[in-house]
Amino acid sequence: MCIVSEVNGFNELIENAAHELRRPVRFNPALDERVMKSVRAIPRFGRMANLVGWLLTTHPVRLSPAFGLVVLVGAAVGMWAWASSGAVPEQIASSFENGARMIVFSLEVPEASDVSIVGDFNDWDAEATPLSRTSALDEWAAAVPLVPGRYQYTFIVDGEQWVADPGAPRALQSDFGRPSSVITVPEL
Amino acid sequence: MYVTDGDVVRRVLGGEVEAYAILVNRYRDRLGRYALRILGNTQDAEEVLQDTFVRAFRSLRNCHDPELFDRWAFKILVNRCRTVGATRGRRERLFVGDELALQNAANFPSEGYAWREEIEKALAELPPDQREAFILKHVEELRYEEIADLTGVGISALKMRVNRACTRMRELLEGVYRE
Repeated sequence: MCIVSEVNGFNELIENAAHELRRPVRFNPALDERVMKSVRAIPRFGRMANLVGWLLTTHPVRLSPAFGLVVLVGAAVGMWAWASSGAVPEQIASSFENGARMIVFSLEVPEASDVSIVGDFNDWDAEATPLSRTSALDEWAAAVPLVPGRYQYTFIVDGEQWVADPGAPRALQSDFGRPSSVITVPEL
Repeated sequence: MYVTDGDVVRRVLGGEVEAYAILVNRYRDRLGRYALRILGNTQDAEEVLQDTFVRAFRSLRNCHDPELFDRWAFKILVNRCRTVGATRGRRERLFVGDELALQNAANFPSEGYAWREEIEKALAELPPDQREAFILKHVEELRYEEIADLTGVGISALKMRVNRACTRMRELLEGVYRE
């Protein structure tokens, strides 16, 4: 027998071989029962299981370009409205513009009724940076944007008591003769 | 009355697990042929086939077009064959004397069986990627676009694999065919 034609590596011989390989193959029908035995052991589908499964499964979502555009514009308007409503603290929003980092100061004084922080970063103004009670209730905290540098500071409890930060090194010299602490904000 | 694949899938998802037997029975031999051609022995083919049906059952919710259950299950099978084929070397391909091959050969003349044995030996000589491409193209008779979708391989690479497989098969079978 000779090869009569050849297209893209395919010819009579290959067609003959492929034809043989295409012949149906019959597997033992007992395989069906083995499969069914396995699937019966799997938790069954049902309305509740289907609902849970549907919620946990990813689904392709198809949007028309027009609807997609409406969603995008809506999201942009929503973000603009949120930003302009003041929901974003001005202090935080601007803190990243000059390379500042947000530093959280905290002090554990559960019995205090008013706590603030004074230091080089707010001209030692006792009204400038009040601390708020945290959800832990016995701790007060405030986030202050600081550019890299070295700062002295202290807490003022109930308007009169100066308290150094127990979690920071003490300042060797205090301009006011009161206990104060030191923080160094490193370059990023 | 013929029940469509979509109807069966919906019944199974609705809680009628036993209806799944319809799909297993309907596609057992068709899917099994691919597994047998790729893996080369009945035991591995049956294991992979069973595993494929069980995996398909577990993931049935992900069958987004139930009317095309067979195509979806075939994709699972192709992947399972790749995994099993990679872990069991070519040395384990046992065409000669394979029980199922012998049973199926009973319907054909003895010279036909000898020819088929040579073909299967030649198939076993192909690298796995060429064997897969050859079987999908010339045995399962899929279009290159369909094969690319199943395997994730680009159409140009698939054409090259099929071409190389044909060349190698021709080299291996030419002497036998002329006899």
